[in-house]
Amino acid sequence: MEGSLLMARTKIFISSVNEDGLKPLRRKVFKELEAMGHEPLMWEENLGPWPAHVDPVVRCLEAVAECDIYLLFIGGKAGTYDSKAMRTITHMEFIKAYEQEKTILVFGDVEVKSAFFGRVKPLLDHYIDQSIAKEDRFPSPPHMMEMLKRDERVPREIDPYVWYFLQDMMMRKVYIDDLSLGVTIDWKAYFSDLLRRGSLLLPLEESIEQNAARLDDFDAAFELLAGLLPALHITGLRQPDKFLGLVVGKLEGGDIEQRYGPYMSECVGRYEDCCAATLYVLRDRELCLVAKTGDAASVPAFSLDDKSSYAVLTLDLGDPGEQVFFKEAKKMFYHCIRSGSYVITLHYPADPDWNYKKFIHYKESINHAIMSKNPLIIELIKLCLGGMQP
Amino acid sequence: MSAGVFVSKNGRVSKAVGAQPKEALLFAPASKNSSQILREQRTAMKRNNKQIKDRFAQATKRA
Repeated sequence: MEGSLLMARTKIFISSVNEDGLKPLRRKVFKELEAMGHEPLMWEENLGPWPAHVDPVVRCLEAVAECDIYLLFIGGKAGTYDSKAMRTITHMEFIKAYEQEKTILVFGDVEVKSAFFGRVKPLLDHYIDQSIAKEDRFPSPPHMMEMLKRDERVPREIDPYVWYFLQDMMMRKVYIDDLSLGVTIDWKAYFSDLLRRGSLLLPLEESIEQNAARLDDFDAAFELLAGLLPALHITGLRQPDKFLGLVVGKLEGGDIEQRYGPYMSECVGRYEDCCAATLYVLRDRELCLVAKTGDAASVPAFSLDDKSSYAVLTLDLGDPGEQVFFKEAKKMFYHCIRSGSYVITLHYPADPDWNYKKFIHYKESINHAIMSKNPLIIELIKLCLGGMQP
Repeated sequence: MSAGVFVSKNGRVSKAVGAQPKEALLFAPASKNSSQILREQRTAMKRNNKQIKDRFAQATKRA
């Protein structure tokens, strides 16, 4: 018995709107979790009320931050809405738990869930898509609720905010379990499964910590390299073709994702692995070809006045400079990087459906996809070329 | 160069307005370059690494 008193117990924050249908369930869950040896936290039982000077919302959010597991029940009521935050208090508790990367368990009333997935979610998805297409931004919660209030297909007996809350959970990829009032949830089985999952990971502590330490070592080595290379005087490329070949072989293609706010994205296309590259150097008012690899055009030199050349346009950006170009006729993205007197161009084949309209529409997503895919390799290339004397 | 999409056609650079020929070279200035993205990724990696260590410390702490 003394041993068990020394053990840290699992703190479980029980969250829900204070609605009549959920009250008996909350009380029952509190007692059951307590009987199982956990430490449940709940407003009516052991959290409130507080002295007048304590903000109850702040205290609730602090309690969420202190918990190990965040348990949420959702029925048809939205609860107290904070107009400044444009969120309900319960929703803010959920966001806090999500932001703090807590284990989140959500149970939603089966009838509410059924109406949401069957009728409301398609309406919301369509409205969000339309808003993004028209205004290039995600609609606000009040706009979504207004739309739902106007639509006769949406059940009247459910607060509109509940739909927005469920939509937000979907965007954060949080699973919602079924809650049937009157049907008991098998908490022992539920927590046994959580224990199983934790038990699989805990023995890996040493391996994970070793990997984390190695990652810190690699990062420190990179930091040193990034400091050392600019201090060197590199006299030139011994094997420029091999240099380009090695670079091209390391650069992977990927998806092009359009992001709508922090939680939602859509794959709008793909680009293939890097297939070719050219390297030019600035010499006597010309950009002269140093090397090429793959199926890249090999113009021996470009005049600096030739603004049809992506290499010249990139040189004009200054040092360092970087730009992604697209040519529909070639179905190709060109990632051009200037470092010192050099301009390297990396060729990535685009999917066949890319055309000028699609490029204009998704320009920021394309830039981000290509620049964020292999930034460590690109930085090393910049450092090598930047330290080189032509 | 300001935001928007630009086009290089026949050796001249201009804002891309209307239909563009297939041979046109299109580009749009990026809000971040790969060096800035790398800095962000390294910062996130350090934060994640610290969180993993903190979580294991919490998980193995007794009372």
